[in-house]
Amino acid sequence: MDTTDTNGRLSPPLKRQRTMSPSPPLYRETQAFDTSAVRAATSALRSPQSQALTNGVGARKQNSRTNYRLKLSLTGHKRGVSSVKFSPDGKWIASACKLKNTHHKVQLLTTNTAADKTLRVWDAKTGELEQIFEAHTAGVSDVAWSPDSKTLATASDDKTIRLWELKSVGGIHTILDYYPRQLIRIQPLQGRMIRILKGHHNYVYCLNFNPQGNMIVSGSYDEAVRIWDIRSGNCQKTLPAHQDPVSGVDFIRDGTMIASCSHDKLIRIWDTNTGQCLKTLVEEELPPVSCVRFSPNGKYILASTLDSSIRLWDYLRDGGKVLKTYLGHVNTKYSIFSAFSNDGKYMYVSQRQFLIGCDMVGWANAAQILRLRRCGDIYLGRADEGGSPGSEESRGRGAGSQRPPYRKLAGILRPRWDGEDMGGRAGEQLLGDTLNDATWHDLSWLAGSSCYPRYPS
Amino acid sequence: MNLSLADPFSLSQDYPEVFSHSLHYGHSACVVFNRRGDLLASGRHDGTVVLFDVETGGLARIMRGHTRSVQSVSWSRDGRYLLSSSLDCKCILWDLEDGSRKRVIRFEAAVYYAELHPFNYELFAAAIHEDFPYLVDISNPRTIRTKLSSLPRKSPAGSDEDETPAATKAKAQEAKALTLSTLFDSTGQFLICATTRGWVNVVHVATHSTIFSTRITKTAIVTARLSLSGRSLIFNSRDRILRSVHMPPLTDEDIEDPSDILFEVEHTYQDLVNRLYWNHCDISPTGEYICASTYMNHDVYIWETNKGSLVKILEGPKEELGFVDWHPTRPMIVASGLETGRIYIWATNNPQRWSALAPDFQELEENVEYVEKEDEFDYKDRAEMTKARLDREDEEVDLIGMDDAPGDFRDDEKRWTMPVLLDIEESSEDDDVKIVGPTAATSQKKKKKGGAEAEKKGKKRKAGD
Repeated sequence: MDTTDTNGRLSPPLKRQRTMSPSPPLYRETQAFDTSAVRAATSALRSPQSQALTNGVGARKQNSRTNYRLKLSLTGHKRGVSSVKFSPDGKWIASACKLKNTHHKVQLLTTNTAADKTLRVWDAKTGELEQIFEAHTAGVSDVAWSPDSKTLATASDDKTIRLWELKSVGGIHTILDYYPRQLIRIQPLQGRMIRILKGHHNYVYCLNFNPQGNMIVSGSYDEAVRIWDIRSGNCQKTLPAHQDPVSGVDFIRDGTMIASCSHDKLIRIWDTNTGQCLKTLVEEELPPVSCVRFSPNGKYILASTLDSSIRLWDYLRDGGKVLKTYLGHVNTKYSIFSAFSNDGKYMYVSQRQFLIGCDMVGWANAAQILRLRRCGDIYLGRADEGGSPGSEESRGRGAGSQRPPYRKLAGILRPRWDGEDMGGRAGEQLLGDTLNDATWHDLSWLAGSSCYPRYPS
Repeated sequence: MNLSLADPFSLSQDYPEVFSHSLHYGHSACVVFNRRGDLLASGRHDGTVVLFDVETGGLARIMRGHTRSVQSVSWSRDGRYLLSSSLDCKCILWDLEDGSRKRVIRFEAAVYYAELHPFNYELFAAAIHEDFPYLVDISNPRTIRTKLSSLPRKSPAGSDEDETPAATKAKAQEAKALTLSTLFDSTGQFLICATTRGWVNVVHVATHSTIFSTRITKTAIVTARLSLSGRSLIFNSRDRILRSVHMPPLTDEDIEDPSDILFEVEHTYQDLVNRLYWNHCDISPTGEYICASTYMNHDVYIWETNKGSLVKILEGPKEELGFVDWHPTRPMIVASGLETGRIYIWATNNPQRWSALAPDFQELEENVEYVEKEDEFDYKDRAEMTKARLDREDEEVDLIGMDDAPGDFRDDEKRWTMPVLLDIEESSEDDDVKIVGPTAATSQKKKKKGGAEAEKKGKKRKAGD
């Protein structure tokens, strides 16, 4: 039995290679600076807009680095966790677990270990396990919350999508909450499966709800993107989207467009209503794309690729243009989520967003790197800066170096963990928290905001 | 937000061209889109009100309350409330948050038409069988019904005229006039009532007085519709002619002195050859087009209002069509079939642009000889190119700010959205066939059918109450 085998979400078509990650001895928080950060700082000074911002934010700006600390570790999954998401209302955390690489051709036949095909829902405040949903007959690759936080959808290797209803049963219990210390009233959960969406011919790999909550888009190993009506459970449309497994799908904020990406190196934008392709984005270097996401305002697309970079596209421009490239981390095989955060405090100030990525090695101009025991690091970076890979000389810079105008991040982490090489105890998830004035809700909101961020009204 | 990427050609299409699909759940009598265009309300012959999700074509909600055919449905501005009127003499205001009946208003006769005030969902106007129209205020627990007049406004000069027998006869006839439709204008200050004598009365909502009347035809006006923009009106009358009227901007001054109101028929639309009778009609949201369903004919006619010319005849299904409604934002028309009660939808046909699938390719009209660029196959250092590209990435990026320009999305977000229900009880198709027909007897029979189903329904009703 190979206990160090990965249980995480391997990016579909690439061969798995064993990598040793530099495992930090203990949980600690580190910061990374480099030349590009300095460059960013100077460019910020150049630009009148940033200047104004810098002045406006004032003294707070000095302490702009994010300050996340590990708050909870949710333990219980027997295998690597493939997806973890906050509910949009911030109450729950849903996590999905994947069987050992069932889909992988080169897998070692060691899957007789206890398989975990469950969806778990945790209380986001206390970290208590609320309910385990079991029905899938194979590993679950992705989980998505409906915008009203009442329904969950899971994509599984058993070729189905299942919808789960989260229902609070009657009776309210009062319990003591740890953080902050107070009595709170909770309603115990009693969820159930309500629908099975069948139609994909192969493993379903990714899915998302639309902002109206009446449709689901899913991407699968059968290379198609399907749009489902969740009320009836019928497949509305099948888009012959790609020539390789679809690795990511996302709705734009008003639900009229869908972005899909695949290991065939394309990002495609579809019209939800007509089901027609509106645009295709191709990066010159042709890396396989592992995750795609619309920006909160729907003007840009964030795409993670397996050449260890994350790119921000302006898809509206002719042919599409990469506006920013975020480099520094290493990811050549996993479908790792990236998400936008949204600072609840300064919503009217533009450029309050940070980009969060996670992986094993340093991200050059990250705002903060959370280093976690057994799990790897989370990188927080500013979305509006991008940057080139950290050069060696920049690595050693400490707190004395000139800091870029980072602002505090009230945001989150939505890592897709992979338990490989992390000491055997796979399946820990974690949530960050800021110790400054961001409230807990901001945090959870951000985490859950992958699909439906809040906007200034 | 898909507009920015959509094919300009498909965007330039203003009216539907092809039959798209049909929806079927019971025998639909009237169909109306909500203001946002994401839900379609269908009032059925058995008194049930059904909401369809326009995007998915699925059932969004089923609401039971009426016992006889639903005659009209009207949405509140935010889409949260729905008013249905029925032949069972009731109007029901539904709260779509949970599908409950917020208010049931009883009348003494069948209600032909009821429309909610455009801004205040607690005020509506109803056209009643054999009676004057009512303005109903339900903001208090006690319903306040105000009777409005169906009679045309008397001109001040003519009021003192001697009472010749002819005049009295005419008057007696006028007194029999019924109002068949009551429309609010876009400001909600005035009510436009169309009568069976061909009169159009403009009633001031605050004072309940008729401030202006004009006779646009000598026959009964069966349908009156106002465009979403509030600028054009269309009247369908028994003389087989549709009349479009430019809605005059009514102001407070007009209440004092209504003589300036210009209320004239702009265009008339009719089929001179077949002398078709129009079942129902609607205007496109901008007022540029008019569509109408016809008696004994399966097509939907579309005219353009600028010149009054016929632009399209939509080939329909194999049945006569009743109610038609134009989608508030898209070139889309729905119509309900009279025989089967199916809801038919026409939309545009957008062909796939192949160049969207492969960004390197262009769609060409003709073959073009390719000229190789000077440096096309030159060797370039990859690392350098990457560096150069990264250096070019110096634009400011705003991930959250929204343009105010196309479509007011901020506005959208404030609007109410209906919760998505996952446990709508769906009866089988056979059931639907049985419910055909407006008689209460059938629905009673259905009730008596007993068994679990009726019980279930009863429970549902209780829950609704």
